[in-house]
Amino acid sequence: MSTETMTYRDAIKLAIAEEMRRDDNVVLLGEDVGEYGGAFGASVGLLEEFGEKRIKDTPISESAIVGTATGAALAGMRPICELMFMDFVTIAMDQLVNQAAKLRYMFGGKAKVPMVLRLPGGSGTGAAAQHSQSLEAWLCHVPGLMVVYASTPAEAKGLLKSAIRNDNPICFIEHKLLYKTEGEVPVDEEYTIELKKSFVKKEGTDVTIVSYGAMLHKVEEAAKYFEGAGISLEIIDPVTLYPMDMEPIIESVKKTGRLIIVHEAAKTGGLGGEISARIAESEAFDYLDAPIIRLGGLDVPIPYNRNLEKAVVPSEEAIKEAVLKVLNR
Amino acid sequence: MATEIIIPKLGMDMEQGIFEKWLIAEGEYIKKGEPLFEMVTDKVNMEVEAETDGYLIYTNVEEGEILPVFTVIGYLGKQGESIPEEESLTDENEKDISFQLQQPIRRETEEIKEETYVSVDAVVSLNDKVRATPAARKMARDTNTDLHFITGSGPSGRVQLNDVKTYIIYAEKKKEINKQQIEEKNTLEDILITPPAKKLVEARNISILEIIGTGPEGRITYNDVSGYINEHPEYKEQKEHDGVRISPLAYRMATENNIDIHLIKGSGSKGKIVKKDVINAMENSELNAFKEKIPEVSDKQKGSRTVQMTHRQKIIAKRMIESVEDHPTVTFTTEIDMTNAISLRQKLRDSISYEYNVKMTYTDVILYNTARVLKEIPVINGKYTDQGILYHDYVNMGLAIGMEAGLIVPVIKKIDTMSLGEIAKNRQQVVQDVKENNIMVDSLTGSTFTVSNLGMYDITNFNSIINGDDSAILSVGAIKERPWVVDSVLMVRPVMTVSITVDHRIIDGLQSAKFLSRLKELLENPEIVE
Repeated sequence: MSTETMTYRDAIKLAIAEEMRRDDNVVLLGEDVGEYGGAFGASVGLLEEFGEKRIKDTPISESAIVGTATGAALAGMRPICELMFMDFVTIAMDQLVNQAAKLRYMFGGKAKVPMVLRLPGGSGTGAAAQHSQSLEAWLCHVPGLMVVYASTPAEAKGLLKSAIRNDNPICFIEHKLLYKTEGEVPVDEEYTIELKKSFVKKEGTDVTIVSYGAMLHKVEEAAKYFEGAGISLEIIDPVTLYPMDMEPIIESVKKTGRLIIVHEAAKTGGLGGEISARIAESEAFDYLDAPIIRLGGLDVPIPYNRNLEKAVVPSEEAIKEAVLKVLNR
Repeated sequence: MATEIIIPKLGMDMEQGIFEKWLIAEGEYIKKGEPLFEMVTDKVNMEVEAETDGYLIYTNVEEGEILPVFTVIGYLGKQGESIPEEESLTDENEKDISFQLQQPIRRETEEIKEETYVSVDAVVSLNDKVRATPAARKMARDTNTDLHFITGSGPSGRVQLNDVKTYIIYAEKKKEINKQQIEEKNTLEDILITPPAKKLVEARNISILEIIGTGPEGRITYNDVSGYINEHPEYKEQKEHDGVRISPLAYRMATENNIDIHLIKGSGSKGKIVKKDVINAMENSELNAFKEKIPEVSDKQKGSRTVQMTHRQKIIAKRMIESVEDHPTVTFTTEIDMTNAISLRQKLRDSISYEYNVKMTYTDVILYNTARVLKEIPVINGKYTDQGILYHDYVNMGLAIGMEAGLIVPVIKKIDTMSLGEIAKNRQQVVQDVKENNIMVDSLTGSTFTVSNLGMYDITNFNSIINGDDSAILSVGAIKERPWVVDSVLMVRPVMTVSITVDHRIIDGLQSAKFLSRLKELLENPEIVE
């Protein structure tokens, strides 16, 4: 498969463009997605190619954006919404949780809501407490929604294309720090990545680490560090956070006997607790040789101060310490 | 079916015990509940009782041997019964491990913070209470291994998967060795040997497997044995070692290494010196030095003699050195007018005697008030650690008791929650237990502070060495009538001198002074007692 080096942002744009060319029902709407090219530049140039009818700048109302998209999806279109910051999904919650997520079920499968909500999340950009949150656990608590988190450019393209083609409302989370990261991305128009599937990013024997989004990269760095010390980490990215494919995680824990979950979202009520509990309920429990460790953000709003902002989310050092702790070293 | 005799686990942190001696001879009959052997932990001497009626048919331990808990040291069974290998294997497989101890032991569990008495049999069924990871549990379950036998290497002694794996390998090996020994024993029983030959073989400690019998049906005769001895000079001259019982190999090693065999303590049967003892002696440089200082002169001529220390005495000696090395100490002393404390004791003595059936002593009054002061100045009840100062929400009071056999410090746990009467009751109980050698291992650990009272021996003033993990120790002298000035008037008052020795790393002079002056205040003004 031929690939091109491109940024995470361009991979997202490519996915949108390809799907819009393939299917006339795919439209993009959001604040400043047209002329301005999106808050993070993920739709630069799309207005020129697809025109105002399919690339819609909207008023500053997330509720209206998601409500409009839900209606359009019910009427047979495949809207993609960009919410400028994931934090603003709070404003669209009624439309998203009470409408979009429920309709397919309540109409007995006769109606469907094929829609993608692109949500730039996470901290690290100095955008302070109202523009830096990681709210994936909230969204995972709503049956009827799917939650997908891409951590590399190639995944961003493959997963977004699958999400656009899927018939359910999907929250597609993009980490703001990842937009500028580069990677090899397949340019094949039929390149997609299966949803509801966890991926083993690196095989290992000693400790299983489950992580996603920007944190995954810190975990990969820690794994490289330990490689030299003869400690082998197995890294799993669930990718689709809800519904999560637990099988590879269970199999991995049965192999390593040790589990660490790393995410940027606040630890309390975070997905780490869910994954940990599912492992305790699974057959992998009997293979655990150390208590499960969750590394999550501190239970505080994300600070504006850069140093404090770094300090409230798990660091590479914290990951290394956790690895040594589960190994009793 | 023969029943295993094992080294029992008598406390949470007990990992090994020292086998002292059998209390009955091999081949003798014993009834269930009668004392079978004596052992020493690092805290107490104790007699272990027989679990079942039976003959002591097989022993596998030397006196003074240090063994991990649950080591099989012998078997009880029917007269003449040997221990068939299938039987011992089945024993393992069925986990039919019989504990030889029926008396109650103390055991702390995570869930039950209150200490409870459980019988050892009950401990076995409490398998779930062992701190172990799920993986370790699964493996133990799959392999029919009892987690109680495994020492955990994880945090707080948690048993990890690897511990179980290691244990299983160890157990397999041990089973192998037992099997070999049993086979050997069976073979030995099959070998025919004349009584005089047998006597000679036993006297010289020769393995009869190596001797070729020339008598009828291959019977080993006296001549066969003496011929063997002639070919193997190391078995000669067995008895010519100044009456010291020593094996030929040990004798050769001792001679080659210039070690006086009179200075080696034998750990073999009837005090016989074996190879291990010589190795121990060689490692003991002090002994070598000692030997060099008094080369020729016999002890008797000098009017001095060396008496081997008991294990307990050795442990105490080691603890003393450790304490002095670990704690930079400083001592503070004050004098306390005991007039009011004495009248308080007289006032309360009868009612406490009535309620608790115990005679209240000055020690109890001192313990009670000391506990109160410790709650007020918690650092004195704390402990220096590399991570920081460890504070306790409770006071576990050690009480130093001098015995002929050495110093013993039983611990009255959570004394800060007790009334004066309860303290008296508990104090009397531990003192009695110590005197009757009945003390439980767990009653000797976990102190946070210790009081040493030599008042009854008419000692007025002394310093003590800090005990165990404590950070301070209170030395209490005798109450004596002394000239005492009260409000510029010279009077005669009963006065007691107390000293506190503290770990100066975490406790400074001010805190020590506060401690003593508050203790003085409480004892001189007992009305402060609620």
